[in-house]
Amino acid sequence: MTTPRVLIIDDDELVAATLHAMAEAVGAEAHATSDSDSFFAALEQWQPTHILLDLNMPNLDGMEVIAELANRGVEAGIIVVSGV
Amino acid sequence: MSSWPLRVTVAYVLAGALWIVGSDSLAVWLFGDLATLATAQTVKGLAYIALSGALVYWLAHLAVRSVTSAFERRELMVLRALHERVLDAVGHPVLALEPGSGRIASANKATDALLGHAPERLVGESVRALFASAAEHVAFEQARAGAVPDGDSVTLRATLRHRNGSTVIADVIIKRATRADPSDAPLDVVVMRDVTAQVESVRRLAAEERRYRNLFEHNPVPMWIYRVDDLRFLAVNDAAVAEYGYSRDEFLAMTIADIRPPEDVARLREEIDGLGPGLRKPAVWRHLTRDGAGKLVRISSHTTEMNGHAARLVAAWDVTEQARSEAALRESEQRFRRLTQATLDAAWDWDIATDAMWWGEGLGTVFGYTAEATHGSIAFWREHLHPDDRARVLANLDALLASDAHDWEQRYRFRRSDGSYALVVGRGYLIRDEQGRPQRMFGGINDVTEQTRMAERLQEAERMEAVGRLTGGVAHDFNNLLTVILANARLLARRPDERARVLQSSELIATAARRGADLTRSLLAFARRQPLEPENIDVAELLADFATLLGRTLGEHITIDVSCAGDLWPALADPGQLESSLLNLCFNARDAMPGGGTLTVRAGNRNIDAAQAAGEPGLEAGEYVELVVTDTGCGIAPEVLGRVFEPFFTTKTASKGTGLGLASVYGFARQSGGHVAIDSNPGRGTCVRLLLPRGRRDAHTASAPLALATDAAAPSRRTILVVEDDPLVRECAVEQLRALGYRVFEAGDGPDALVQLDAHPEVELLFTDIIMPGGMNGRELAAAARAERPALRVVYTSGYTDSVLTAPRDSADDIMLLGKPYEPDELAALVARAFETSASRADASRS
Repeated sequence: MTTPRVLIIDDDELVAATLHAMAEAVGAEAHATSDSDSFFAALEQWQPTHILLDLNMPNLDGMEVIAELANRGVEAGIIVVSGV
Repeated sequence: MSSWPLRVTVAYVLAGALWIVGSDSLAVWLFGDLATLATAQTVKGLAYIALSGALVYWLAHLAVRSVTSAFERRELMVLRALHERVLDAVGHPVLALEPGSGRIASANKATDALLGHAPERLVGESVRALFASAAEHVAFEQARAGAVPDGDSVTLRATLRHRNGSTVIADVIIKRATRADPSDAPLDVVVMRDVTAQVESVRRLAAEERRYRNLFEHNPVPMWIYRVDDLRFLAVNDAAVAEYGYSRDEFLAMTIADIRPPEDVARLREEIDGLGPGLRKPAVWRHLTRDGAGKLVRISSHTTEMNGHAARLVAAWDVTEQARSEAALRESEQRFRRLTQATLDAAWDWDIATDAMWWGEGLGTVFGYTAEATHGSIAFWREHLHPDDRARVLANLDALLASDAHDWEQRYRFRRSDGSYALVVGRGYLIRDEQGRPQRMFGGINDVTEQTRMAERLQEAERMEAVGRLTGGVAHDFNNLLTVILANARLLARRPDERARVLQSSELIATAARRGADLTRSLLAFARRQPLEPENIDVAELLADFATLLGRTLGEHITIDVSCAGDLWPALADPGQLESSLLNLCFNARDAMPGGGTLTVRAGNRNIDAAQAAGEPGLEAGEYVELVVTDTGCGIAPEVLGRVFEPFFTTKTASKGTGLGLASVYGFARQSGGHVAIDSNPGRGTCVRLLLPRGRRDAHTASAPLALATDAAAPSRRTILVVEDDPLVRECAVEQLRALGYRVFEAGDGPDALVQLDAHPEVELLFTDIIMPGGMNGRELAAAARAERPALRVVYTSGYTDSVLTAPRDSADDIMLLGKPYEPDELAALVARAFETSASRADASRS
């Protein structure tokens, strides 16, 4: 079994860094991004197996990101994180 | 006289007798012969006859001459008297003047009558005295110089002066007459004919004619005279020329049909043919001016005569405007009626002198009263005011009447006919007379009950929406922070030996906690509950530092322009919060200009007068320092602009942030006694104006920054009592203080703390939360403890500041407050400072 590669997007850098640390703590490779441009750039280059996504971000629409991922036919598993 | 012929006769007899006797004797003696003697006698007789004949002739001649001259003399006297009487009978002054000297040779009695000079006094005088002026006299003398002896008489009109000073106008006729004896110098006969009355009546007649002419020419009403036979204008006045646009000459070449619309001409002819003599009653006609404009005129005419033609004098009043305003009035009355029917207002008209009040139909439709129920008096209105509102509303109305204002508006409750009360807005407009005394007032009562209820409901819904958004926003942010703290806390426990990861996790936890602290601070700022320490701020100085900070923070794509007015007042505000508010605004500005632009910060003095204050809710009149932050960014859409001060109201495209930026700026401004306003044009940029109350220059109280005390020389000798109701927080504080080397006791509430203080007299410092359950807050605890132990130092801590801390201070001590959350360094510094201050106080009391 290969090491999972988790790509994180959260516009809150603090949350992104924490998710990054948590992913690494469970033995995954992780990469954290805070805006959609760098997220999609990393998606192409890094080919993650999982995506960690905050649905409710003040400055990004998580649903739009998901729609775009579906649009691109991304096969990585999407884990949605949500507060309220 | 009678003796004269006798004497002549006697002399003649004696002389004859003597002659005869003597000559005879002599002849006899001389001549002896008779012949000779006879001859001598004859000669002698002849000689005698010749001599006596001559004598008789001389005497007769003398006698005849004497008789003749007496006769003539008598004749002359008669003539002269006749002459004077004739002259006196002449009614006009007649004077005879010496042609050379001009002196008066004679004058008749009429001179006295007309000029008051007695004729006998005038003789020998100059004629000058009779003339009214020297000029008149000169003219007379010139005319007289032209008179030719026995030529035509010369006439001139002269003004004479009566002796009593009045003037007389006279025709003066001068005739130079030769005298009976041509050797005598000719005489100037002057006749003065009084024409004063005649001249006066001519003058009066002319003035009268002029007056009538003026009445016509300059009459403000257009007037003309036309010939009845061919309708031609014979004369027009100035007003006609001015109002119809034709020149006088043009008029005189026209007929009165030319100023009528063609379709009216036939009727005009009929009308004129049917006119009788005298005055024609006024009738309204249409007239055309030169430029073709129609006007309505009221025509009056009267028969007259001019230049031998039968004519009519016409006056034409322009009634166009009057007709128009009558129509407008009718329309306006109609509109007013429809309007009062259409609106839900009960319109009224109050005659202030009589207190009579007229009500519109709205009183019935809106409030259910008939017009009769009001008795036409304002008393009806007064009686139907809600008893709780009556005094206020009537006092307000009285104040309006006593002031010089016109507009009135009050909200009050008004009783309906069914006994319920309607919430109404009453508005009125007061009419005053020229002296400013109230005359009448017009207004209406608008039932806003339903409207107000709706607005309240809407407001409640909006409030709930805002609360929901606030709660959601806070929950979201805190959940994020809690996620960070929770996750990292677990990560720490999981791999306590991986130093790098431990450090990373603890840093993330600290960052999250600090952000949480920022969040609560923003919330408190928005709620206007943040502890502010207002100072007199030199804004120019603050901005100078701020500009440097901005330059480093905003990035190179943004041009920063910060400037201050020269004579800037100090502002009264918390400098730290002012800086953070400005930073907030500048960040917003930066985020609105992702492609770069100009950020301008201006500071200036601003006087807000009552009118300006009234236009902006929450703003009071007074002196302010104004800070204006302007960007050239994307701007804010109008539908969003009204909500930007709401907490967590943020747009998708806005920057990263808590959503509390503008809300906390707003809270800060309002809590500081100032104001904030925003203005924006989408695509053109945004301008935020922050108003802060003016401070005083002489009371610059900016204190030196808190110097961190590093005197932790012997904390182990110091004992502290920590009072905190939350066990977690208490434990945390106790652990931190112990880690710093202090001896620490703890208590969960005020009463417990007092017990601990009794048990441990070595406690020197009380570190207490302010808001605690148990019936005793931190302030009360400190007071009770101090009552027993005055030297006890107190440090307060609190997560939330309200009236407990801002209440009047009960001692002269500085209040030392450590705001939650705090970091270990802050706690250490403040506790150390408390001990230091207590030591210096002890020193002071010892010395």
